Amino acid sequence: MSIDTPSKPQRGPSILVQSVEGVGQGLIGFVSNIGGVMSLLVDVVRWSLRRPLRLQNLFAQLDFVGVGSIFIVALTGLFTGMVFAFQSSTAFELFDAESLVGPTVALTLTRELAPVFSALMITMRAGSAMCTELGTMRVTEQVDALETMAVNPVQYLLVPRIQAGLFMTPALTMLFNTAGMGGAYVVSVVVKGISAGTFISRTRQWMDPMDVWEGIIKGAIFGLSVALICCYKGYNASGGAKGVGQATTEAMVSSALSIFILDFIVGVLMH
Amino acid sequence: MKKLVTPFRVGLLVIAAGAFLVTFILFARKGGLSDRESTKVWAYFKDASGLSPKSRVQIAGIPVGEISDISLEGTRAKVWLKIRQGVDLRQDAAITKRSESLLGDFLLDLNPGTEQSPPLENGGQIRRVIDTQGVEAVFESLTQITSDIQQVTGALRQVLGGEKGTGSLERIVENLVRVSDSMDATVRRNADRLDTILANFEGVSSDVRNITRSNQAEVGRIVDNVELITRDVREVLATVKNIVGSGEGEFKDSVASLKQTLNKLDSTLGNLDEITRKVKNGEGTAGMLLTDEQLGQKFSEAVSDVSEFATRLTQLQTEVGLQSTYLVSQGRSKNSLSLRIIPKPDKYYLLEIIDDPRGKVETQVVQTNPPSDGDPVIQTQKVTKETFKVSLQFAKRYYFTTLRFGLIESTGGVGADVHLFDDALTLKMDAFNFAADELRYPRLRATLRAQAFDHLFVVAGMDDILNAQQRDSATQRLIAGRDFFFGGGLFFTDDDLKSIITATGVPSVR
Repeated sequence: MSIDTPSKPQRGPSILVQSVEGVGQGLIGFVSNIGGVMSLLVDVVRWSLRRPLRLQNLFAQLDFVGVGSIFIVALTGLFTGMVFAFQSSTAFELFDAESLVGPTVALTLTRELAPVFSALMITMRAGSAMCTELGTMRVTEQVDALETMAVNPVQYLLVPRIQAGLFMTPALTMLFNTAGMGGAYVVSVVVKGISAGTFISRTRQWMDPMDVWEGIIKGAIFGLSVALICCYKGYNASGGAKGVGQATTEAMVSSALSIFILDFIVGVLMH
Repeated sequence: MKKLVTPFRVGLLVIAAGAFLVTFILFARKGGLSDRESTKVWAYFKDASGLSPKSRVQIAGIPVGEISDISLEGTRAKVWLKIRQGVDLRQDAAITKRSESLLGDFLLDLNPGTEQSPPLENGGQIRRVIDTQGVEAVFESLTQITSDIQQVTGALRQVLGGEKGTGSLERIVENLVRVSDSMDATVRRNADRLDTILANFEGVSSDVRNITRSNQAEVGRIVDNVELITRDVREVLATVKNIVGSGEGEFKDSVASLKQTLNKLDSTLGNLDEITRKVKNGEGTAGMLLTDEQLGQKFSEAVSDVSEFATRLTQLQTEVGLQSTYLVSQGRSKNSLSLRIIPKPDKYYLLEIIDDPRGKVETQVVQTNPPSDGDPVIQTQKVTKETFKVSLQFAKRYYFTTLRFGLIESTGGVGADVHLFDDALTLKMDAFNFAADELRYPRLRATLRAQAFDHLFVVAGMDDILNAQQRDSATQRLIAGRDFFFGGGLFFTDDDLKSIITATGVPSVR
């Protein structure tokens, strides 16, 4: 005679354990991503120095990232400068200090807004396209096909894109600066009635060449970071169309976050 | 060809960005002053806050150099300046730190010194450092005024504040409400009787007035008698008071005096009886007024005029203001206390007492007689005195413009104000001091006044626009010539004062 004893139900891990696991996996993923991006950076630097240089690919990417973003960056810069001048002049009128509108807009644009907004525009317009394109090539095994043909995919696909991000973001930052200051001038002088001489002389008095260089350096760092992250996410995408979409989303979020974090770090280091 | 299109477009972008970069760098580069083209001098400052390397150094508003370095020496800041070679610096040069705006934009104003003093060598020290702090000085004055007002309101709050004071006020209000209710009811109940009483009272008052007019001599006697009576009554009261502590003798005297007084009062009543009889018979002006309808109508009109005058007086508005401005070239503050009496919205009288650091310039003729024979030597000297100045102006407003004339800073002058943005911004122009010998042109002053908050305003402008600067040779004080100024002030209307009293109560003697 045998007695059947009911078996105990299998219980999953507790909520506490799941939470700890989630945090741990997130941390591991974060560190792995940083390591992967750094490793990719080393590869890109190494393959940038090797022949063939593939200038045609490079110019195509420079055109796509830089020339293709001129309109959106200039438009963003123009309206940013205009609205910033309008709001700051309204505030400065309270203190009878409208002469400080020009310097305020100039310093804010050159140091912060121009590199950050330019990099964000490039992330949205070019970074997403880079990630999606590389991700699609990865899941459709085109990257494997390149390796089969003894073409290094890092040199062929990634190096031009990352170089384009590195070189074009500072150029677009300068374009943003120019459009922004033009918009600020129009609003301050034509709309708000601030003297043109005051606007120009006070801006010149307060602005320093180092402010412009700070923006350029930040632009280069942001461009490199955005291109690296987007290429890394796309290059390592997996899981078909859904995986490509997920990789693009992660690339956008990570790129935007990296811009703001790097902006803080570089800003602190440069002052 | 198509292969070239992409590099060409990229190249164009790079060239454009490079051109923008170069333009920005050239625009932002100040050029600076090299050691070869500048003189390095230094000065000690007690407070160098707001100053930094590359801060401007200017003479008469024109940049002539910059701060090259700031270091701490003991408890003082040693500030090194690079001054352009062409500037003739002397050993009595003076330097002033001042702020350019309310937001603390600092620069240094340099006075290069006088020709009589030896030149200041490269690496020398500017010994005259004037520690005026511009906006801080203005704010300090305003803070002091605010503190005084707070002390007053605090004292009032202490007197009638708290639960006890609030309870008293509540009881007073409740009593007033009850009194007004009962008064209203009484008036309603006795409306007809009150009308009759008022008519009688009006008649009596008219009679008395006419009596005083037509029988002045008799009234004079009555008044004399009444005066005597009151004096006697006062003496009686004093005597009665003394009785408590003294004997009866004085009391008897007082009773005798009282008898005498009563006799006089009897006589006075007799006079009054005679006067009323005359009035009743229509004799004199009083009698005429009672019988002459035309005269009564004129009297009614006169009362109406008096009533209108009283109404005007109650509509009169007053405004008390304090203003403090910092005179940039003078390096000192100018303060004024103003009283504006506003009988009508479009008309006002302005009385100001002004403490002007320019002072008042007077010309004195000094005659020196030689001890021996010879003509006396006559010299003319100008003396600057520190005195308060007074303005008394009449102003009339037409639409957005106010015209003023009268006494401006103790001299005759005229002024005009243009009011913009619902009076939030006012452009004021004053012209005065037309006859001063030391001035080539009359003193013309332009002021922009902005209403910052309800009772706070800021001003900025230029004084004595037309004349070149003149300084007192002894004190280096600016006595004439153009000078920028900025500052602020407070003003209160009588409505504000009423609000303060209503909120805090009126102090009472316990």
